[in-house]
Amino acid sequence: MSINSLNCTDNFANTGIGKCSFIPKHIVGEFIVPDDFELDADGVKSIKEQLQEAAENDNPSERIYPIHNFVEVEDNSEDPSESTFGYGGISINNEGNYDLQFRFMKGGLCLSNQLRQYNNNSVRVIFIDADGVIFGQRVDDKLKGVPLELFFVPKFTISDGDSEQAGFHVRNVFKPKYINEQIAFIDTQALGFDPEEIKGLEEVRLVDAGSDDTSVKLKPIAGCGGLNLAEVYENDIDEVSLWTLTDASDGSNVSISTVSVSDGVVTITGDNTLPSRTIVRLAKVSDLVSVGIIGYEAKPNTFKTE
Amino acid sequence: MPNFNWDVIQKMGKTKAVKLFKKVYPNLDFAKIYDEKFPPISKSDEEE
Repeated sequence: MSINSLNCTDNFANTGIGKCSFIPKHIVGEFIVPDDFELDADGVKSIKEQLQEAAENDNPSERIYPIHNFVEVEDNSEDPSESTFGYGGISINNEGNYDLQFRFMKGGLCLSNQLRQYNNNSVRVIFIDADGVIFGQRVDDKLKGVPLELFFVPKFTISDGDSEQAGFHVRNVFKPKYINEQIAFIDTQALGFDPEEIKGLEEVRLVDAGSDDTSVKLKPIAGCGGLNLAEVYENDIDEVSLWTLTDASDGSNVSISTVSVSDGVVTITGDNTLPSRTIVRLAKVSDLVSVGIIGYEAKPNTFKTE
Repeated sequence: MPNFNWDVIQKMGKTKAVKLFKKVYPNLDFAKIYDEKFPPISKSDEEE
């Protein structure tokens, strides 16, 4: 390039159209995805398998988190910022970010509080439209999540007793380029599945049900609904291999001699009297799936066993 | 009926296991279950 020359290239783009047009419908859900998560339409595994496996990944940092059933959107996207000139004319300085606030009802306060843990974190999302098209950012022929400038779940809005129910919302702010020039989309209807089939995991609390120095007694309670997995999966959750006991004082393993389920209570015995405080863990997601307990993840809990 | 982890129970030994499980499962005749799983060797068998 020589001096006094400008790198002034013309951009041309053909405007012919084929038989099909992609016109995104309203957004009915999204997947929160890790930074490095990508969907490969040419991969060995189907898109459904890729999503399903990611939703049930044992490692929370590599998992995707589906949110379904958005019921409305409030579009607060920024207007383009313009400059007007003294001699006339306008130029666009900045076209402004998308600022979309989706409302959901299913899951209510329970889901809202779970999602609020992501507030102000670095989050990427893949959107789901009403026709089952999932879309995000195209990177090297793969579909990645759209990096958000802001992910925010505000406090729920109160019903005034007259018109509305309480409102639960998810706010996404992001740059336009990701779903315009850089968009990648996959039509899941054409692949024969509905993205709603990809469910998020429910969190399970291990609740003390009268433990003492000879046994841990607990109820595995799922989600806000309070479903007792020991009642629903009585014949599966009593597998010895699904449980781990640890001495809270030194982290040593406590051998398990029996596991039983009766009246919705799981009873676990060690090979001796138990330490005064015992940490109980239920198996990881994939191990639960392998015995037919699908869609749950339990957090370890420490029990007084004295 | 509990699921038994026989490897662990065998290491515990019958006496200790019976004593422990008596507290947790008072209606369970664990001594009988243990003997069915690990039949005791009679003196006559030993002599043979």
